[in-house]
Amino acid sequence: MRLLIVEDESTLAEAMAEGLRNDGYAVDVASNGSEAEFLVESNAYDCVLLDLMLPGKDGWALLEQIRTRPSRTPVICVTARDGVDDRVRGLDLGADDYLLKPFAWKELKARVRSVIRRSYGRADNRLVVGDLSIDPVGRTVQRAGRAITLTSREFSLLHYLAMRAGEVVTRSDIIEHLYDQNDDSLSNVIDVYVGHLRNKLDRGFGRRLIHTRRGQGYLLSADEGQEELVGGPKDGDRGA
Amino acid sequence: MTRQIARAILLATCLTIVVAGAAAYFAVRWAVIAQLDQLLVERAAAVLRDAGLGRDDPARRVPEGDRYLIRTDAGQTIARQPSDRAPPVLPEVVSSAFASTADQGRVRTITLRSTPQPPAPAATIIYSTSARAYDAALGALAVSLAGVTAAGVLVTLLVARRIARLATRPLAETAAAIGEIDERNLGRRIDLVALPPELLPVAERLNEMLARIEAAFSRQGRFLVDAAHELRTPVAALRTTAEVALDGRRDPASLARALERCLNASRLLERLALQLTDALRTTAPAASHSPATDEWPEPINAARLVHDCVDVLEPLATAKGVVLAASPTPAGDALLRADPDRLGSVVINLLSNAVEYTPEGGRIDVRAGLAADGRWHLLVRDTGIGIAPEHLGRVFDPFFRADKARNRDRGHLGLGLYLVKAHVQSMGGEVAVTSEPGTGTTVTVTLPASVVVRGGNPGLPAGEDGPAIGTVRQRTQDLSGVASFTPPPSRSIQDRTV
Repeated sequence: MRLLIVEDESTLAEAMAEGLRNDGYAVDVASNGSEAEFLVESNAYDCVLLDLMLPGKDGWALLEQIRTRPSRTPVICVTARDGVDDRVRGLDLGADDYLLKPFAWKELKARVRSVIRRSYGRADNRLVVGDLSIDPVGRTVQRAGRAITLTSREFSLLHYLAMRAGEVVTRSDIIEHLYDQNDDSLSNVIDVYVGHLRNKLDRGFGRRLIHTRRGQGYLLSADEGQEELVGGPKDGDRGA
Repeated sequence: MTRQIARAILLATCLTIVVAGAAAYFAVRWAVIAQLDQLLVERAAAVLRDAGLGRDDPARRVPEGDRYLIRTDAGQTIARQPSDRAPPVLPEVVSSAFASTADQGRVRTITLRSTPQPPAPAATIIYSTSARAYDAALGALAVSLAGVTAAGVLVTLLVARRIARLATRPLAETAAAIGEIDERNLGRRIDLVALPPELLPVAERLNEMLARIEAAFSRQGRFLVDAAHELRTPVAALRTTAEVALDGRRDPASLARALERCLNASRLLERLALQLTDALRTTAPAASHSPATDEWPEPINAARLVHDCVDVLEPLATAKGVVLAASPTPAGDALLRADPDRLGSVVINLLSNAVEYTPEGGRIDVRAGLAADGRWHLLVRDTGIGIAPEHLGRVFDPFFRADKARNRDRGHLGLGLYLVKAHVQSMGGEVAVTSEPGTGTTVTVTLPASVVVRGGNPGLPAGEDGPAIGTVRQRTQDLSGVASFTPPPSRSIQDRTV
């Protein structure tokens, strides 16, 4: 998952970025409205953490802008503006959530998870694909009851695939959602990670969960039949 | 005030009653006596006539108790009644008067002159009658009038205070209404409709004063609300930094890094706390109107203070590639009667702004000294990014920050210029800003001649500090911690682990 933090107080922005990266997110940081605008236009984010009090661009305008884009990226307002009117306005302008500073770190993480979950059309945190069970909170994976150890990157990749279980995920989708601005990794690395995942998740478990669609991308599914699914939801067109 | 009104009513009424009573008495007395005299004149004239007509026994016509004596100018007695007693004789000048007799008591005597046709001789008649009845009547009148007067005074005594209280009731009610106004209901005003016209001016002024107080309270309230707001982000920075660190890897290196970040965040808070303390100083009542100068009997060396502040900010300027130049101190500069803390804050804030908003390669000029008109001037000119004309009018507003696209440093509360203006005004001075975007900004502070103790004297002996300099140095140390705060360079790229 890839997040954008829009916050002009550098100490806070960096602390948030580090914490979220520790949790396996790819994180970009914008310190003013124009930077934020540019990044939102150029990249696909799973969630934007937006401070409404920005130098330069008006935070409200930015919020509106982000929410009216076709991709409808979820936005959490993280702000010092605590008045009821501000909260109502933010939510009415399209914010998915509203968090006041100073906030509890645990809460911020939970709200990010919640907002992303909803945007992918899921009710629970836990993701189940066949006999594969993924806990995004504890960042643990089980298959057929057996705990599987993944690196942070591997887990992030699996998590993303699982969120879009049953859909074909292109390589560029994966790059967009797993790497931030400053990451220079080559797209071939993706194949390597998928290979690692296959080794750990599929080998020795009988049914294959990770499928390759030549020319298109990858697919996580327990159902053979699902492979034929065409015209399913793609990135950039998430359901409510 | 009720008492005064009561006393006034009492005095006026009693005086009136007494004077009226006395006047009435004397008027009646005068009328009665005049009437009596008239009567005596008639009787005396009748007797004279009878005597002139030769009627032998005029005594028959004279009422009991009356006496008369007729005599010629030569002194010869022509007739008298009774024969053995004479009425009291008055000097000719007095024609009627009261007199006391041994046997009759008080009598009223008149002297009348007749000038009949010759050959009858001119004669004078002295006629008297008992005045007892009249005295009794007048006495009764006096007593009754005295009684009425006394009664009137008594009634007034009883009623005066009540009347007075009635008059002052609106005042008491207004006072009670005002007494209920406190900081929770400053919106209340005195109801002018029900007031007597005499109280209107006072009430109107009071209402105006309440409006001013309400405005001041609300300004202060808004300031506090804004300040509380402004603190949220730095507090969040500190908290999130700590929480993320605790949430993540606990190896010493990571923790050390985290602690450094916490330290940076806490310095941010420190800076804000200092600025807020400074700002609160300006809202303290003693500071705003009275010349703060009176509180500072020990004058400070202004040039020394300015140079201390420049010294503090110089490393910062140099690190940024900006030249910070202060004009050389003239030998023996002005001594100012001013609060070294406040003046120091003014200089530090101006210099710190100049350094902040002047890019590399720029220049800041600082000049201070006495002008020809006796006022003390401080000029800080920079070649920085300037202030847009539409913002110029608001730069002194608290928490106002003109938008800077590159502003990552939330250490700016937007209080700097607000504090400068407040402090300068509390010292009786003025501050002005001119600016051109892209060219630079000039801020001029002027303090009135009244704060200048002396200027241009041969100067303090070498090594001697102005008395308050120790405080100034300490203060500039405190503020230097504030002024030199810079955000840490972004390390996230290097730190991130895959």
